Amino acid sequence: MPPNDDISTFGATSTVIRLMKQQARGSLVAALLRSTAHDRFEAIVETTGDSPAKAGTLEDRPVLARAGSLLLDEASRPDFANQLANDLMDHFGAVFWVELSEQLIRDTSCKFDALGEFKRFSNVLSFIPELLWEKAALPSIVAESGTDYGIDALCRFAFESLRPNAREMFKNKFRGPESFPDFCAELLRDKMPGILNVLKAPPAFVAGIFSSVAALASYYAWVIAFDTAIRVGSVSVSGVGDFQFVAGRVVNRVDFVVDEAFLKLIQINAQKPPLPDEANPPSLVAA
Amino acid sequence: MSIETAFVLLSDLHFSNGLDEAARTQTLNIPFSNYGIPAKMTNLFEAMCRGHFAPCVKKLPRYLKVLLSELKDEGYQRDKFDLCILLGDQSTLAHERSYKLLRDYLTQDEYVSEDGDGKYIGYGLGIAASDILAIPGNHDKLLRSSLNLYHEEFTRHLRLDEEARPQMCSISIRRFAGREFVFILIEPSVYCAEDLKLGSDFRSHLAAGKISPKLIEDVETKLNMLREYGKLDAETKLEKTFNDAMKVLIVHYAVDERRFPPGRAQGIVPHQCDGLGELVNMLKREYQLSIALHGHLHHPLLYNFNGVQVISATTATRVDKGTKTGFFLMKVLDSGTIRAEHHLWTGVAFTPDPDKNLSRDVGYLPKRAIAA
Repeated sequence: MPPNDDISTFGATSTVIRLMKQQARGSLVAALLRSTAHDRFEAIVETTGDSPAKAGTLEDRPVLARAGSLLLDEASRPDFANQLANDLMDHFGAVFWVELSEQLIRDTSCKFDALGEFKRFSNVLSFIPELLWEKAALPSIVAESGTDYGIDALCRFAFESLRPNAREMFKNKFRGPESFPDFCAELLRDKMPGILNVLKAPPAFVAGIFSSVAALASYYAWVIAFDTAIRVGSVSVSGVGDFQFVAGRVVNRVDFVVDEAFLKLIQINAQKPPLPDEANPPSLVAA
Repeated sequence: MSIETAFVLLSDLHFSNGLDEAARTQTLNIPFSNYGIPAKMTNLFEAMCRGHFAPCVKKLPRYLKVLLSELKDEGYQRDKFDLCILLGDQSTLAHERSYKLLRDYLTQDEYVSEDGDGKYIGYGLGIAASDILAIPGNHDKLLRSSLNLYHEEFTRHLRLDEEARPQMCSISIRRFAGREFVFILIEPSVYCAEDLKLGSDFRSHLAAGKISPKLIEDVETKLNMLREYGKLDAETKLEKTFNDAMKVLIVHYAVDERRFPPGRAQGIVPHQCDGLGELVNMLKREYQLSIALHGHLHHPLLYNFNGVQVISATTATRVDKGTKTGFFLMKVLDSGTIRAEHHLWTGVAFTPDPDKNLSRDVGYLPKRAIAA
């Protein structure tokens, strides 16, 4: 193992964004292969001498760098954006919930910006929601000094416009506590094409920028969908637990009932002792 | 009933070059023009060569620890699985970086994963190399004329006891809780003529195998020696008789591919292994073969092939639409019953597979008086 200062550590939100950027690169490849630009993309793949030894960064991916013009062309096509949104949502849930369990195994809490904080106690997991619908504006999930701050601002601007009608959209079209990922995909399909369309970057940088957009837009769609579904009543995630909104006179709260297998997995693998039960705070927030 | 022995079967891990790399970017690791691969095959390679799904890889060590804890509740005495059997396609593109990642993942509790963004701690399975039995799959020699890279970067690095060779078999004898197992590991892959060149005969070597007379002879020679003399060399020897041991075949390719629904890639590139069914029949008839384990088709199934129980393991860490991701746990009970139990990736977590056809008794091996 290298010295600790060589190891990068991020919070849960940053980790999910980083992992989704990686997944987005794969989704871009998949979307191009299924797009009208299929033949042109294959020609780039065939004529670009990628080094198989390299991996991870876009600088190591000359195929995607050369495909920038294709991505710009395809971004305006609804099919391409739909394909990309669906593909991203196929991955997001796994990335998100696995990161939750990893954080709770390594530590005693896991905070997802704009969504809420999970805490691990001896016999229970608590969830303290952010209750996004009570906030005037979507909070930023990227530091102002971050390279993606501009893209983050654009994504927030785009998704902000969905929030006033999100509840009605969800109630009209989606049913059941397990349907929020479908709602999330719909939000992403709705907004991502517009975001991609206004970005006119040099072709060599398009894939990198699109990956950041995909990751950040997925995250905002996710937290808005989750928040909306909870506001309407409840969210159920198989293998994780059930979230139930309880309106109160003074405070609203979200009751989280953890899936037994999920709790057991965390308890058996936990690398730190849990928080003592007596310090268990109520999962309440002021209305 | 208590559990005395436990094996975990992991197949078709399809490791990429980096832990967090997207499964679908593996296509970009193939220099198509250098390898003589025409553009029209991009889709095929994209489908065939997808890499592991990072959330799945991260969750597996955590879940196996839960299973180990549950085994202890059922009387299992050890703090680790008796054996981890890898059924091939360990790497998706047979690359040194993927084998490095896999080695660390398999044998370390914690390892460092590096990508363009930084270095990260990864959590692994922490299995001792001596507890790993592995055979290569078609991807472990994809576009290669030999297993040199696989052995240099995986088998020898880990100092695994058994080293598969093309059209040869190796025998591993293992004893657990008073029972003796003879594992017959075979490598029937067809290889390309020249390293890193697709060639016009690609349909024969990309995903197919063939049992040659040389392989049959090698299997017969080694099993005859074992049966007659009780040993192959100083290390590979039986404590009891050949008849008392359970004989288990380990092969990457499907024993009977007609049992499986045809996949999209299988329509373009043959995935069968010619002669494997006949070999299994011969092993059953002449050497009391009881169980065969295979991977390859990414489809979990328990089936009977002319009296031999076959366990087909799906991919444990790759996620493709329309196929199950998961792995089998094999338990030997104190009664001698051998039970296979399938566990499934749900998209968020691993869980026992609710499909009752994938969890049932597959054999019986009473305890004999040998040193554990």
